[in-house]
Amino acid sequence: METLLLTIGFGLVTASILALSAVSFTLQYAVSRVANLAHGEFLALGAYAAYLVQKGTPNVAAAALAAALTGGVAGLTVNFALIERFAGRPAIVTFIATLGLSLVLQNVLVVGFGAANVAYTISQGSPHKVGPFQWTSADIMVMVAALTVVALLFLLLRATTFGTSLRAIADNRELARVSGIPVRRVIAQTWFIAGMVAGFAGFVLAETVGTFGPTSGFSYLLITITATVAGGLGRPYGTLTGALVVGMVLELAGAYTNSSYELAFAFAVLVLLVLFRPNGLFAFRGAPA
Amino acid sequence: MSAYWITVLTQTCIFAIMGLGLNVVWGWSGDFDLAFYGYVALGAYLTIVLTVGKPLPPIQYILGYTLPYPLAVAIAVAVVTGVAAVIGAVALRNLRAIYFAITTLGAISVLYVVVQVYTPLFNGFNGVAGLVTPMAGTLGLSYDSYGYFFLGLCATSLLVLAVMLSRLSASPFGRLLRAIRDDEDAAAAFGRRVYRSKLKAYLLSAAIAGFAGGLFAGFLGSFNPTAWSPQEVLTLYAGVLVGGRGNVRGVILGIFVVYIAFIELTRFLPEIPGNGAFAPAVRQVLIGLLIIGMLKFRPQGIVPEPLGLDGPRPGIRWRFWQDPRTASAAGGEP
Repeated sequence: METLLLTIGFGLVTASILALSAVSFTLQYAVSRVANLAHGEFLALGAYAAYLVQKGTPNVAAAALAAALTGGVAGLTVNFALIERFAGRPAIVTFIATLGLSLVLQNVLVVGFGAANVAYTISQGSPHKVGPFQWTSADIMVMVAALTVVALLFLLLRATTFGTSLRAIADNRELARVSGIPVRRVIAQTWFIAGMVAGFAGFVLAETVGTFGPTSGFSYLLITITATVAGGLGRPYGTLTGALVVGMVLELAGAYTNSSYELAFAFAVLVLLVLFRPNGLFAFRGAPA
Repeated sequence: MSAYWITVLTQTCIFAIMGLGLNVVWGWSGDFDLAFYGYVALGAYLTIVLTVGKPLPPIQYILGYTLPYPLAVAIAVAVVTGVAAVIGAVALRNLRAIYFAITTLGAISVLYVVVQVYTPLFNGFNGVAGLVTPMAGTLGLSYDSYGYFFLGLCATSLLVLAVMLSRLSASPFGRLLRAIRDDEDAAAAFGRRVYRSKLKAYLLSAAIAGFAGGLFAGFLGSFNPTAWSPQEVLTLYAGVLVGGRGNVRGVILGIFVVYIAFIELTRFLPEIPGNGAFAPAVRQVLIGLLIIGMLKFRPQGIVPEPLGLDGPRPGIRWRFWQDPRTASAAGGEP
């Protein structure tokens, strides 16, 4: 029981990071209808930007900001230089192009920083006992940060004109266009915001794991996709629940077997999902998107 | 011919065989299969553990037989096809496009992790080794002549496979696959069995991958996870894209252009002290850019797939390298 509760505690931390990464992925998908396989590299770019900043200053907020901005700029650039260029082509073609982009970005990182992992030496703080769970100060910060980001995104989607436009585009791009929504601009803004969230997620992931390498982002992609599909591709709210479910499954499976097989469990979940609930765990007839 | 060029050509012939396999599933069947290189790897691993005998501790791997090389390759192909049947049966049943690609990406990622972490299978990260110049003893070949022999073996395999696949491409089955690729619903409406045909193509492609893996194992002598990251398949995709997706001759041409160009170009990259991964990384960057560029500007490749009524026709074409349309226009072919 003790193990189970501790594992659930760690699962919440895993799920927080996963939620950030998955929400970003799903937002990009919602507006562009593109499964961006270079998404993992947004995380990696953010993590490396934070690494560079941390070499100069111990300020965590500065590193986080650098990570988010790098991710945002990456998102904006990719949307302009790649996604828009492939507009009107079959989804699978753009998908393959993003996979090519992931290869490019990954190896640009190798050229710049070497193939070995870089170390993140942020203090994890002392462990706290919170109810039945046990978290370090860093864990708590991760969860608070994730909740804050998600809350901000929720407000952005629900309470601003931008959010309304985004949801309109996700529902029906043509209808949004003829209704006078500046589709191109809203999509670019969405990529910027999603990129910022992804870059920040990369920073959080790197700080939590302690090391990060050029391929770490890509390795995280499959788990991100699993969480996204669990929540329903292109549904930001469902994705949060998907991240929670997948994060828990991963931690529980890792606690009772070998954590190296995490990926295998993620894949098992993914296969079951795409076979039996391809529109997400919570897709019901008539459910709002 | 220098030993260097024998090595390059042998390797490229093996990659061209892989390209032909990839062309069956992606070119004809239209499924973006990311697990493909996993089948190559599995074929290579199996070929080695079936031929090199029992492992000496602390090395550990399964089987450890001392079968003759050709038999080992044959068994490897059979096992790989079996594995592909499981993955294909799941992935092809009702998953298409992105969902299919993600599922196969997941499959190879898991295979990669399991092979690395679960040491008793193929000795984990250190991999398996010891397959030195297979069949040299039986055939009484010297070390010098062996290079020529193995190049000949690979080139002959490539040629035979290319002829067989060209015939298949023009056969009713080849046309059926294209029809399904171009409009699955229409093919189904005409009573074609979509799932079954796609699965057949998938198995054929995996079998070719396993065979290429067997040759690769004989060429390399050893195999470990650094030889096959899940993204290795992208170089093959680049080759197929450059040559012309769906076209057997185009694919071979594309693989030769891409691999030889990249092997040759990266020789002249400077060594960066402290970053041993510099040259391979630059090569990967170029591969990625090549894929994006081809998709954007010339998705049909250098030698596009002939389509429509002038497309591939049944019947034996002895002059394999000649385009069937120009051949019949010149009246040179029956």
